[in-house]
Amino acid sequence: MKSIFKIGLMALASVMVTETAMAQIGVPYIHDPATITKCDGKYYTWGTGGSALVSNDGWVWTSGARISVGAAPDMMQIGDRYLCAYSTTGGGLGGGHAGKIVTMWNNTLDPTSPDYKWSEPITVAYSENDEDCDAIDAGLLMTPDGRLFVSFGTYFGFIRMCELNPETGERLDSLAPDINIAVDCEASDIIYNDGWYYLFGTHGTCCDGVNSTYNLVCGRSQSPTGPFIDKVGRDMVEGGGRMFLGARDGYTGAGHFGRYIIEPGVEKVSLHWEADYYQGGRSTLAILPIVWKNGWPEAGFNIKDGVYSIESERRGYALELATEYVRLNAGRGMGGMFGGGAQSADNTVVPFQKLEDVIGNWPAGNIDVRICDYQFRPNQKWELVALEEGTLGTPYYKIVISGTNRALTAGPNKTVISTPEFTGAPEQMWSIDQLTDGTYRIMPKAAPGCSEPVCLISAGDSNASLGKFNMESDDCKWRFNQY
Amino acid sequence: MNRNFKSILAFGVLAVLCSCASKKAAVEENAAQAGVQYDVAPDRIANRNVEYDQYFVELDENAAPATPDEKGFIRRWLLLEPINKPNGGNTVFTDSYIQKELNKEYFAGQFANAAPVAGSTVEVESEAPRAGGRGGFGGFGGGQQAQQAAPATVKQTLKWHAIDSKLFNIKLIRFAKGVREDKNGYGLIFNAVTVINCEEDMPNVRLAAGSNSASIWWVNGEQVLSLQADRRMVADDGMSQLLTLKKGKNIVRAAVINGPGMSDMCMRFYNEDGSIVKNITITTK
Repeated sequence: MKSIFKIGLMALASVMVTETAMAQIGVPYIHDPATITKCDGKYYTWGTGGSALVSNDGWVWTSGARISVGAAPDMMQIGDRYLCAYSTTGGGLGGGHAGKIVTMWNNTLDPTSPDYKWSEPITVAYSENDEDCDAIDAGLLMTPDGRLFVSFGTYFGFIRMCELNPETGERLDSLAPDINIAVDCEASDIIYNDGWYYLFGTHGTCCDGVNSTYNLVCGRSQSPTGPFIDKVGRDMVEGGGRMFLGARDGYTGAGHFGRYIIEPGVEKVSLHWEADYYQGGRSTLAILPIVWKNGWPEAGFNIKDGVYSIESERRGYALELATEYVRLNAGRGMGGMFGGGAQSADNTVVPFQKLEDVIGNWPAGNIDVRICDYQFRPNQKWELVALEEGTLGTPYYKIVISGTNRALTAGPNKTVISTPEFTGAPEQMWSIDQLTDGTYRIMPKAAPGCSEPVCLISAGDSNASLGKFNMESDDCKWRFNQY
Repeated sequence: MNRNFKSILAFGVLAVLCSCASKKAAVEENAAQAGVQYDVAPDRIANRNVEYDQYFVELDENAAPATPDEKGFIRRWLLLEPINKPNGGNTVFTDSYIQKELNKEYFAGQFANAAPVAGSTVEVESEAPRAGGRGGFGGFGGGQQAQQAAPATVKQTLKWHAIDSKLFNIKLIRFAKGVREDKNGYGLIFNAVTVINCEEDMPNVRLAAGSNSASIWWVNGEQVLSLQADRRMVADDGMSQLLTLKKGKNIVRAAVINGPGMSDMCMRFYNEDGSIVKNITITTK
């Protein structure tokens, strides 16, 4: 709670900084994105009307090969194939409400591959023209025991679900009825986490640009078929739902949840903003961390550009340059009873130690990095600047001592050092992923001599090093704070 | 819908109802025969039948008083056949808009602190529905519709229906489609009244309501809650400040406005400690 609160304050306090860290870059224009799916090293998503985006790194997106889908497709890798579920019709808020949910397969998502061919679409669910459901916005769920479901529906009545055959993508039992799981929302998606199924839906006004109030809510159940109950005990069939994400400064209308698990402890949500103020109010793809708190998911935060302390989750000490400690010559609150300087004569502000007070004594070359008590000294203040490249959902950052170009750098033999200049080398580019517990993982793009990914770790309480990420170890976790 | 029209269509409606009853029976039969069974409550099974009687029971004048349902929702209401109010989208329902439009007097006695008589009719002059019968809706998005010349008006004769809802929420769109000759469910204002009977004064309770879309709620003539904007119905979306339900009859009135899309509402009372009020009865007079 405390860290989330701090992070929230950070976000509020940082309105003047650049916004590049919040949004995907390139041409990430899309509405109703499918769950991001990786194939042969590339990330893909598709939106309403078949618009497609593709990315080599998950941060920079370009237009991809369109596929012939109607509204709001979803995608899932099952074995070595890819299942697409989408809706063929749906008239929207005031139109007809006849819709069909169909599925189709492909062996690859790479349109340049000779294996790229979609199978014949199969209808698995439908709504008639005027019933309390509008069969659009398909969302796929694979349960831990291998059962496949699709949920669908929009504001016109119920969100419904039915079970599919995971081998064929067909409806499992043509006689089995659809099941009502929520009401008056849309863009449903169900995920499984730690014994619970979470149903996400989108409430609010869709498709109204900067005035859209689209927002993501969820409820949970221990059965994939519900009932899904929100945090205050309301059934989602009664309109219940706990907010996962609404608007954030400059971005309105979060909609169309999709989850991507990078590895245990590192999860992302894909969604669209109805309007991205920084890109003309267009609808754009967003990828943000998922944080789990007391059994409930929340949208996390990418680190915004700014100056931070970087504190270890292991002890709480702060990352710093290993430079000579320079004492401040100021008053003591204890009246000198333990020796040392005299009590201050007045209540004037004690001058903070400034960079220019100490930098002259720093070595000119590489300087080791360690972890120590945070005293907001110049060697403990790190400036983060988002770079143009990134990984899934987060940019790489330049991390330098504030006021300098002295850069945090992955050194040889899994060491961490600071080098006098940032050159843009891979060992100076750091990805920062918020973890599911709200802390952050800090990883260099490359580390000399390391063939496997490594992250910044706390070696003991006081030393920094690089090591393999382990979500179970606080040594691998960090917090960014602005005081 | 007027009584003559009902008579004319009696045979046809009967045929449709029979057809729908068969359809519902088929759904239940299919569910029973399905190879895969799901452990879900019967009301979670999808029902494609949207006929009026799937949602409402019309009451006769001797209906015994009702009580709140298991979760405290009030299902007994007097519903006035809806007043035309075409809107191209629901984003126009700002605070000032709903205060103006839902406090507009369409007929004498509209704001009287008394229950209307079931089966009685009122005459109103309203805006004519727009082409297509969908409240002038033009597609996705929600921006305000283009300004037009003064809208054409029509006279409507509207009847009060005393109903019990089969669902916790009052599916207003199904009410509209069931009682209107044009079957239009969009671009409408719904007026609803119910009578809450208390054996003693009940201080410090809250009216809790949800509506699709915007709504205003009154208790004994005093406005106690408004839900502005383009809303989906959510149970307990809004709650009034603490109020007193007095001993005897209390008149609760709601007005719900909707452009295109689903429209429904739900309402219950809470005690100050968060428990649901159940020790009341509900009548229509």
